[in-house]
Amino acid sequence: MIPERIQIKLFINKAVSLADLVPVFHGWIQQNELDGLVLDVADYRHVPNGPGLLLMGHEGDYALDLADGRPGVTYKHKRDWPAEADTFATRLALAVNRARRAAELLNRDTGITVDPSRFEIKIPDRLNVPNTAGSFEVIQQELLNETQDVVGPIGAVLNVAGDDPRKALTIEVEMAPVVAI
Amino acid sequence: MTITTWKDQLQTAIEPTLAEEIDLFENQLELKKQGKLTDQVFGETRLRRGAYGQRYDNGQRHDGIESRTLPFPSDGLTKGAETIWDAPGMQRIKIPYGGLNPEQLEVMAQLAEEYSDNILHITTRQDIQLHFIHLEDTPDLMRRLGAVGITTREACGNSVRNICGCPLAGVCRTEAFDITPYADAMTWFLMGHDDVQDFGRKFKIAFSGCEDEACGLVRFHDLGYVAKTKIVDGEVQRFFDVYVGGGLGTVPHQAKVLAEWVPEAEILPQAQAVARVFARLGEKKNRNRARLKFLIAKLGLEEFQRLVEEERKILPHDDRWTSYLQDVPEQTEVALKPPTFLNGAPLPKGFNDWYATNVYHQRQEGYTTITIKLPLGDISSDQAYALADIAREFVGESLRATVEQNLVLRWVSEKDLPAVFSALDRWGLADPGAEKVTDITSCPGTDTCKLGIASSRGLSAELRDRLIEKNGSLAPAIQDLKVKVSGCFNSCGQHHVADIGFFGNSRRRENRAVPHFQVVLGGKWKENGGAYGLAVGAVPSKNIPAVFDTITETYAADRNEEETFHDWIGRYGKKEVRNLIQPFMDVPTYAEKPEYFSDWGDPREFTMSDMGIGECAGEVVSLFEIEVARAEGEAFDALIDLDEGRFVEAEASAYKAMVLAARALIRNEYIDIGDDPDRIVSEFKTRFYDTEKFFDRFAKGKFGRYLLSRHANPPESIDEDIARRRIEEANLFIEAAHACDAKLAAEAGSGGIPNLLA
Ligand code: SF4
Repeated sequence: MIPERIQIKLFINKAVSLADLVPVFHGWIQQNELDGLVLDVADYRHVPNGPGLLLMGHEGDYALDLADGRPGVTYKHKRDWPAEADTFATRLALAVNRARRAAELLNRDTGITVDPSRFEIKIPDRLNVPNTAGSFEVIQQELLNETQDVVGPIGAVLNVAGDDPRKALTIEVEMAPVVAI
Repeated sequence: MTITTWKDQLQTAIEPTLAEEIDLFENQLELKKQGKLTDQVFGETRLRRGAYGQRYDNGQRHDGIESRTLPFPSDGLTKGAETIWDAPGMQRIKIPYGGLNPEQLEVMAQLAEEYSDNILHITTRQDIQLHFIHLEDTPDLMRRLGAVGITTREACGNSVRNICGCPLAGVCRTEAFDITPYADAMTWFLMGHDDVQDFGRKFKIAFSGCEDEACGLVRFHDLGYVAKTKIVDGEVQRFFDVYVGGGLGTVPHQAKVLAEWVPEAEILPQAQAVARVFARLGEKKNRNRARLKFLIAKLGLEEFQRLVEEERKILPHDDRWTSYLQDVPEQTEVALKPPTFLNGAPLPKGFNDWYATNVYHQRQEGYTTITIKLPLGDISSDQAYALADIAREFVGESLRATVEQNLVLRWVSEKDLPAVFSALDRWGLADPGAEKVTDITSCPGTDTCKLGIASSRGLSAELRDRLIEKNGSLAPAIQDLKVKVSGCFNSCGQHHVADIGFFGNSRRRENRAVPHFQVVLGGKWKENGGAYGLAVGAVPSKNIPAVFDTITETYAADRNEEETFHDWIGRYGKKEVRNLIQPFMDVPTYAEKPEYFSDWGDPREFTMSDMGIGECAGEVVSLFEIEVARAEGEAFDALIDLDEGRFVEAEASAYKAMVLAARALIRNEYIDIGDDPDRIVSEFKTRFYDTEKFFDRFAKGKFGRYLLSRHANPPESIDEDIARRRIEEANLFIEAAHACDAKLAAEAGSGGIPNLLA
């Protein structure tokens, strides 16, 4: 199961003013701060719990997303995967790294931090990865077996889109607590 | 067999002809990649499937510091003239008369999630648009739509566009009858019809159930239908009044009556006859004169009527003209629930405000239609899934998109209203104030439109936020106003028929461009868009909220009881209105207020910094600016004359305004031009028109021709229509003069031309 599109969401813990982020996002384009070809800012501040503020790109889109009332930094890779990204794990790694880069920039420019204890994976690719129990099973195994060196030690993998076939498969990953030695 | 493509997965779900068309389109993508189709052919093919261009698709974007090339990987491949293959585009999805069901809504939500930006955008013509779409995703996107009965065929391009219809059709208290089956029959009859394939421009059709309300807005469509009935031989029979040649665009035209009392059985063949005449005689080369309104103006209405009648007589018979009539029922939709009434049960918080503005009592007792007010016409995928669930639970199939960029749920049983409200509210879909002043219509503008000059969505969002904040304290007369914003003179936001409309333009100050909006006042939404407002002056974008407050507060204080804004503007007088906005028309210097040099919602400087500061850096007001102010004053005098019924004087002043604007440009190069109009027009033609310096990137020489043709052929007689049109032309000519001056200044400064002016 190799998705064509993967979205990572790193949750942030406090409310954020998207109006203040508009110039920040334009600044990232000006300074060429992000990976991939980033084209423009799309502003959906007016949509309740919507996609928020996006940096639309060619290969992928970055956003400060407000979906589900849970603000977070997202990166969705949507096309032109590099040749070496030919497995779920390698594709996930690319998406996670780009989301983390955006989160670092956000922290640098606004002081906002992301919640290190969890993140969300959404797979808006109903052709290759429909939202079924079978897909969840496969992705869960991939996560546990193939990706912990990239994302860190995983505590739990939860299916948060339920069994609604309309929705994209959405998984929340809880990181394993760090054990003090 | 493992299914690996949408084509395989959906092959039995799509109607075979549509499936074939999409396969063919996919092949054409391949042929274009192989260089076997020209840009021109492929561009029109793509448009006819609704796949449109989007801002920056020429690969250039000004990022606020400089204009940069966007390094798309396409390697020189294009999908139309100056349109890079990999640049994202907009997919327009035709929703005939705005009617859609929950399953269709869900599929569009999925497509928005996968291929776009999680947003469905409702347009002013009841389409749904997805933005940031890659061309190579479009065949699958079309298949997935096709599987739920939606086509994007002829959503753009020189074709019959989405057919509009009242969102209340079938449930309305004032309609003659439900126009839905007729709009539906017209849609499928004309779609792909041989007689509509050879138009020089787009062709827009609308249906209304009555004359007086706005709903279908037939008066600014190429072809419009207003339902009416009369008793013939003791039976109620159905007819339409048919209108032709309306249109907004740069210079709006009110449609004229082609024929009254057209029997229902005649509307399809008559439309076919109109299409044939338009295809045969309509302009093909000059896009700017290719809409039906220009053909009718050229031929005269009577001759056009005669040609249509002649054409009708020789049409070969087609069973489809009337076959659908056997299935036209009294009522096209069936309610899911029995009719009930609010029964005094406790109401959720916020319900009453919402009930007062968003609930319409259908003519069917016990049922209501509720409007879901969508900010800027946007609904997210998550909201769309929720709305589909709510529709299924309470009404079944009945959703419609509206020309005011909202969605409506029809056949809500009254007793269910509190539950529906609560369900919508959970998803942020129970915003009160539908179709009121906070429900501002806006075209995409500079957010995504290639032709956008100023940020219509940015301004609309700003006005909306401010109005919502003080909504409780707004005078009722203000709450009822219609506000509509377009990003440029092309009028997609329908600003001409708003009480208060705005369209984007730009002005120059200290060698920098400043976003402005032209203020257009006194249009009429009622009576199917019954009158067009007139421009009273261009105001810096950042001053528009203050101008809005000044005008609306004066209106609220000065109006007579029951006086509409349209009537008040007529009584108060444009001269006085102009005096109201005058203090807001000046632009401060950059040093004083740099924020005036960027647009709402977009912190990038509106001008390109690589324009540089030329030798005139110290010059606060250029010669052109002084000179063109005279032209603007003359254009305004024309408005006053028009207002006061002096049509000949109004026309003459409008013409003079164009001459003065041309002179303003010429004086930059030839200071001693003098005042003789013949000499001015001749010099203008040689220096600016023939050299194409005056040409707009998209409208080409259209605005220049306004002056040249008026100068060469002064009208023999002048009525209100001609005077009004000349004033519109003069305003556009002046705008074009500003753009030309800015373009030349930019070229002189650094050799670069800002995107906005190019
Ligand atoms: S009015 Fe102008 S900016 Fe707005 S969508 Fe139409 S062409 Fe674009």
